[in-house]
Amino acid sequence: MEKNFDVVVGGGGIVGASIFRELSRYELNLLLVEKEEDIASFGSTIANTGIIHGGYDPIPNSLKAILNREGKKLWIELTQKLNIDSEFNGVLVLAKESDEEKILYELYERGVKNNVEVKILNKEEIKKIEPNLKETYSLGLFSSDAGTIDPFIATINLVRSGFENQGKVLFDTEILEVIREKERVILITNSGEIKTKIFVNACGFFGKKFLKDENLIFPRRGEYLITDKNLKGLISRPIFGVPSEKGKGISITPTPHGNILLGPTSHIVENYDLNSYIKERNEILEKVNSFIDFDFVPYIIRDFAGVRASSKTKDFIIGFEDTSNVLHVQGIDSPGLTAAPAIGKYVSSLIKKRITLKEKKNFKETLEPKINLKKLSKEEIDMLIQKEPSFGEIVCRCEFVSKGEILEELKTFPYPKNIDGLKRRLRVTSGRCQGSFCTIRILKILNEELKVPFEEIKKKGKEGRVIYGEIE
Amino acid sequence: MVKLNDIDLTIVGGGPAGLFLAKEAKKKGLKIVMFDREERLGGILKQCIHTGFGVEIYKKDLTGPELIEELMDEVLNLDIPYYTKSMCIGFEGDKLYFYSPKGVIEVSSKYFVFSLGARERARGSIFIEGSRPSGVFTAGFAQYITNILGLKIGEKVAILGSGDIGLIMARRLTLEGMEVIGIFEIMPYYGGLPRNIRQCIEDFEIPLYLSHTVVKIEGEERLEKIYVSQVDENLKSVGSIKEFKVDTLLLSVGLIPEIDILRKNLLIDNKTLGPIVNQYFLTNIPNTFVIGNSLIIFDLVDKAMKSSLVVLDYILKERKKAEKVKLIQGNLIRNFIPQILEKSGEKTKIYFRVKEPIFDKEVILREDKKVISNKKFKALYPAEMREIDIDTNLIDRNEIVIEVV
Repeated sequence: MEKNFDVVVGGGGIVGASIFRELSRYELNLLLVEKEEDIASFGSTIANTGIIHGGYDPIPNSLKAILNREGKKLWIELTQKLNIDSEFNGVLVLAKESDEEKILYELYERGVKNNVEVKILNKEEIKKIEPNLKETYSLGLFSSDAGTIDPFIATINLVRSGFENQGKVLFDTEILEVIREKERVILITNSGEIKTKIFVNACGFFGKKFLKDENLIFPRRGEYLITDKNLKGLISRPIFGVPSEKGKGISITPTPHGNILLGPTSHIVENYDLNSYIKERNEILEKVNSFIDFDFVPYIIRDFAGVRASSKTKDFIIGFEDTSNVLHVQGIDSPGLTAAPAIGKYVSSLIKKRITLKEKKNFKETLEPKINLKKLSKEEIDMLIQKEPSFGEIVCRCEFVSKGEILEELKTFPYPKNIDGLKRRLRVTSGRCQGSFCTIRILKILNEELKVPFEEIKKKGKEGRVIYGEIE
Repeated sequence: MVKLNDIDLTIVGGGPAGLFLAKEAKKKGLKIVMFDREERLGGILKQCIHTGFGVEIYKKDLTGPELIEELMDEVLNLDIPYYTKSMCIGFEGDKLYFYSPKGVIEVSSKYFVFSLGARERARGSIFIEGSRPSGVFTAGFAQYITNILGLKIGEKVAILGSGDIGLIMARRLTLEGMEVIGIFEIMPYYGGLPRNIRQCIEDFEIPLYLSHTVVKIEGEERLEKIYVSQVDENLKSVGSIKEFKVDTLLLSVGLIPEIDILRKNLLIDNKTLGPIVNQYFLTNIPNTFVIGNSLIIFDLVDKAMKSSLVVLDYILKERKKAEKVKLIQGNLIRNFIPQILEKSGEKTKIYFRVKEPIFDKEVILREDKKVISNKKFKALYPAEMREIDIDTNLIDRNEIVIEVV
């Protein structure tokens, strides 16, 4: 492996992936470094509501406000170009009684200042678009061009696009130390030294130690519950209450795949705590039941938690250190996902001030769409099966994923490294049975087609095996 | 596209209930086709290598695979056509569609029967605090890994829930040299059948903790530790927390009828979580029946098979439109089928389960205060599905209640 790069991006979450893909437009020796075995496998990206926010919430003229507005526009294009599942059906914020109405009007004012689309809806108008909600609201704010995307596929396909445009990716590589030299940076990693003209610190919470003052960043954890798809149609867009000190608050969000995501909670914590807690589950259920009179409990298929890196500055921290070529992208909490593509563009504009960026002539804007049975008609599927029978063999019965799709995915960069990696790419094991049916079939495919011994197949990470070997 | 026309009866799901109905229907001269999503017919019984099957129907104590072999012999002798690796994707109009390695299959049929079995409740539906490592599996998943693939699911195992699959797996894993440190049951009574308690747990001296549950899971990538607490009568944690170092936690916390493929149009009973049916197991979808565990979770395979014959009663007799009677849940009854009775003038069976262990009581069917049917029971356990007969001629009103008195 070569050791000299023009730009190294640290962190394969949504932010690192967006920067990586954006920089792959230019004739650069470009590298993305991820400490885990796979991208989109850790951190805020995988415990994300997936909302592309309207941009009414950030403080006017802040980086959050500008990058949210620009990011939202970019996602509408990117979801098309990179085949990312999405649904742009707006976002609704509800207010009850007068104090909340006051906050709602403030949000509206902010939205106008931030130059984004916002509209105040009265009770009748809300009832018309969301008939199943409890009618305890008095007023709503509608952000019509907001929506939701699949944050896993977004990250994976951004990296895939950057890779197809000659960017390189290193996995299992943790940056331990950053040495600043004149016009270059040396990264000490667990697998040797990497030299680069510019280092972009998009390492999320684990990149705070490279800041001059790492206390600027503090962890805020959030827990989620997710329901199966049998509730599709209960609501049509993310529903929020008015924001508070703690952020935008707990929402009910239909995902582009038809599940409903409940959460997140928001608690400042001491440690990087990813556990689930009954207390927080109850907090979520109580909050969502203030919006809708519905018992979600029988439909919940999984709970999970994530930690976001929040900044004491209350804004994103994006910029070069004065005296070095280290560019920090830190404190990217909400609306980080929304802003990510705009962060990519902003970072490249900052890099332009340090080194020459020459656009490639042959930059590929789009990704070749992969075969997805859910997007084909019966006739098309039949023709496909006649050519390749494995597309007729359904492996995941909850999400309808075929063996053919799994085999294709296993051949496509960035390759899934474990069953959770396949889950984030194809949704296998993510349905109502939570993998108790399809995990067996996946194990057999990996064993039979890829010749991986059963005991080496991991569900999660590098150690999370499923099988302990043969019975003697 | 493969098109199958002029079928009398299409059976989706080739487990014991589907296979049994297929052969009986074929004997009556019906034109049948069967589908299964797996490579081989037989359903879950393929992995159930313990005995206890076929006692009622074949008068023999068979293992799961032996029972399937018996059924398969008959199915093959009767030349019943079947398609494997065929996944049902649902109705479009009055045609049913499947994906299979042979292509998309379209079926036109007079009647459809769904016998799709059940799925296991997973961690998400019970909620346990803590991390989310590998090593927390459903018991049926572990059963496949152990019995079909011959692989080790772990080394040190705990089991949550004393349902039958959990009890059977406790014995199986012990026999295969794994250490089962205990079975934890949140209720003050066992979830499984008495015979399984005896044969799987007592005979192997596996500790069984009633009124105990797992309150927390620890481990980064693979399970490392569980925390167990005793619970009070409200199922709330009381007393001190015990820690157990285990690499595997098996969940045996219940089955849910698998019928999601029809969910859009099907009326579901929130007690059985399967469809609402009449005494012929006919659903609200025209000419569409649901049998076996996708209708209600049966306790015994023989019962799941035998009960499916009501479908043939319906198909083979001329039916006049009959008045409908609603069956209502009364005292101590957990669930039951059918939920609707047609006043056909025939006798029929009601299958039911109770909420808690009950001794020396009577189960009655009554219209307001008039008892139409009653049956005495020495003991009723929640794990068992029991039956009571009713003569539909005796019904006057449009509602009857089933309850324990």
